[in-house]
Amino acid sequence: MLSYLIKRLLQGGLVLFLVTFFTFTVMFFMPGDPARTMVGQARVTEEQLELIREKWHLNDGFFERYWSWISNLLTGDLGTSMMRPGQPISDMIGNAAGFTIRLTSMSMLISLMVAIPIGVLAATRRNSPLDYFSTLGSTLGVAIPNYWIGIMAIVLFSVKLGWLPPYGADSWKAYILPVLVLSIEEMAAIMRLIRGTTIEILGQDYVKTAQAKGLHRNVVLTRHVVRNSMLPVITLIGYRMAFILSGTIVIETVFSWPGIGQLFFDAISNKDLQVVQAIVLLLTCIVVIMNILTDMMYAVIDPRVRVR
Amino acid sequence: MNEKERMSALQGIMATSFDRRSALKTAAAAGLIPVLTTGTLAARAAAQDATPKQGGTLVILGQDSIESLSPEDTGETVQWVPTANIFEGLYMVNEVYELEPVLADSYEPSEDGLVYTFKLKTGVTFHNGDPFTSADVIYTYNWIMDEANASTRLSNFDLVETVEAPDDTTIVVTLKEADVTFMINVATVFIYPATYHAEIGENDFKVAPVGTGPFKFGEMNPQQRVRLDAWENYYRGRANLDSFQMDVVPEAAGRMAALETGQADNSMWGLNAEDNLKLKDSGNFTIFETQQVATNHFPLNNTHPFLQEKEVRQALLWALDRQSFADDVFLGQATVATSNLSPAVAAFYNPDVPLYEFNPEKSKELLEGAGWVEGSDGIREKDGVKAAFTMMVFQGDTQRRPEAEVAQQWWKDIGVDCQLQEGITSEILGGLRAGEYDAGLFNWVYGGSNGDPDSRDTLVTGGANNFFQYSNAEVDDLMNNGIKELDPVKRADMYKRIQAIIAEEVPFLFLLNLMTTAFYNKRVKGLPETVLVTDNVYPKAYQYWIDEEA
Repeated sequence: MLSYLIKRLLQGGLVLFLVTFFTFTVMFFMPGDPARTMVGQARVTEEQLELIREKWHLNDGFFERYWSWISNLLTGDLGTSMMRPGQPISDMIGNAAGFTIRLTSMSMLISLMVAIPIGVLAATRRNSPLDYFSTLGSTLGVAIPNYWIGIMAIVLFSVKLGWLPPYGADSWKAYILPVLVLSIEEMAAIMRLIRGTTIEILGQDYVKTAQAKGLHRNVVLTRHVVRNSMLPVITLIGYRMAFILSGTIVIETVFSWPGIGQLFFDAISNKDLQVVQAIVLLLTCIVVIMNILTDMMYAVIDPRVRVR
Repeated sequence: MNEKERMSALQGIMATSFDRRSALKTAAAAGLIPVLTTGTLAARAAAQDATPKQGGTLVILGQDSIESLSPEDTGETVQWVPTANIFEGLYMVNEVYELEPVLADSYEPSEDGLVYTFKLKTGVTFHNGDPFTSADVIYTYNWIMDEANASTRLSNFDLVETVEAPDDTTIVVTLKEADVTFMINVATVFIYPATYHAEIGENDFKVAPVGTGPFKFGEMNPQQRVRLDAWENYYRGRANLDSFQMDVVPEAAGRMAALETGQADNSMWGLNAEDNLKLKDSGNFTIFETQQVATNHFPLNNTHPFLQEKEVRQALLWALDRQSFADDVFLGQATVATSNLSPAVAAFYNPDVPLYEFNPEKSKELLEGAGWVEGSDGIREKDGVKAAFTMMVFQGDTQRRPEAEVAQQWWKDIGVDCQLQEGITSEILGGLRAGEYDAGLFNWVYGGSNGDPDSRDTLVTGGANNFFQYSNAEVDDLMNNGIKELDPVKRADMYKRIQAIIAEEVPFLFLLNLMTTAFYNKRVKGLPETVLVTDNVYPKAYQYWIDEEA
């Protein structure tokens, strides 16, 4: 178990290095001149732009900049931002992270709470109206871009009905729309999976045996069926983490949510290399750790995995 | 939502942001720049709605994060708006393009236009209690001119030789050569508090600003909001509002919803054209409609083998029905452009130029006359050169792209092949500057910022934003001398001549001058009656008030 964990951690380290190096390369060669962005449309000479570039080390070479980033990182320093000059990036991320963590964890929780019971019920009552409804809902949920759903939700609930604020993160009311819209795709994905696995498990011999023993239907469902259909869900949650995080970039922009997604978007638009690197590092860490945890959980729930 | 959809949605957002940024220096004209005595406008505003009430928060929407509140970082309007309520310059350009005294009481230029002497206001204090004196002006100007600081405003001071303060309330600026844009470029620069700024440094100052303006710094979360609070000891009297707040709402639909629901009072960044029409019809807003000075255009590379001929460029313009762009693409919120200046710059605008009204026959005639004859594939050619070029369009620019697509068809009808290609904004701008691309499509200002027609960086040979590789000795001469001409009538003639030359030579295909519409919730009172440039309404926020019953 321990050697397995160490191996996974080493793999994770390699993934982190490759992902950050790749992002750095893309960002470095991405066209765009932050110096020009800083002066806006003001009349400016090339020499004056050059002064600005020198000051922000925009003229340093690829390896020079990469080395300065990695050596700072190893001492635990994420560096300072260029779009918010002099501000420690760790503060900027810390400030935004709270908003994103609340958003993603709430929508993950809601997705699970809605998707698991409906998925199981739809599987046990196949071809019932509930089943059709859930299949249609989950197909739409995956197919419709959440960007569009978000805007429609604002138009309906803020403008037409006036129930919820159209933007902001100040009150509990402001959480409702972004959390729900972000949940839709997750809900749909989890529901489909639960329904599929539950149907499969219902056909297994041990379920038939349990039923034949005369166990109550609900006992069979909770003890045998649901527990076993949880396995792929755990894998899915780990895997969906990456989707949820990329979903926040869109949702946070639509709902003006001051989280990591919006910060990431701003940093890319401003070509603030250090901030982009820091966020990519953070997101990759989360995905890598979630994946390792998923595998560990798997081993706990399903003893067969441990043997390997 | 898959990855591709997600990207195109995000790019759509970026393109919208650029739209306004490129048109950011919207301005109109007051060529002679009348100087107001303080109080005139305040009186004009106050006459409009009864007695001002104290209290309330004015909520303005911005489209992008507010990363800094330093005068150094006002290149983006979203940062300029709050900054202009914290800081003041010696003079300001107001919403009708008049030059208005702020921290100065008066100024006196010398006969030869080389020396400007300012008398400063007394009894003004910064938000931290420091008194405002000539030392703060000297500190600010010298800080910007010190190359070690790599200031974004350095170019404004190109022509400044020395800055001196004979006493606490006098500033004397000596120029290297006469420059009539001095008052707009230099005298409006926001003043730093010398002691405080030197102590904490520019980086910390960006998030803890101290100025002399009507509002002092309150709170700031760059991605969410900036709140400024009325400053009790403001020398012109405390603001009516308790707070001035800017909320960050990147999505146009979100800004529209916030205006409709009344959660915000105004959006400093534009809405979608159809939303503008909807809000206009609602009757719930005080509306300011102004003409932008930015020109919507197809820049052309004047060194391209096909595009280098004047007759070719004229032919391309005759072939376009620009009125239909205004009507169909911008839903009537634009007018057909005539040359490099917008009619908004009234004192310098030249209407007596060839108008190039849609006439494809004229195009064909011109091309035939210049020796461009149709080849077997229907595309004209001359000496082995094809009448063909590639136009670069910003990725995700769904609003303007139809202009290029329709133009492509019209040009095909006259035997010219135009291919469209998408690219990243900064790369297209850079490529056109370097002469690497044939043509593009975006909006840019070719004179008219702050009401002044100077545009040396775009139309003069080798200018930093000369997207066309354009070079005309007479234009160079007029532009470079235009800023030295002290006689306003002679000066206006020089810029009118430039427009005549540009209209004749067509270095770029000027399409439209767009309108800007600003909406204020009717509960906001005390707004000016006449507005020529919507952005310049914000620095007067201390005069406005909120009437909840309205």
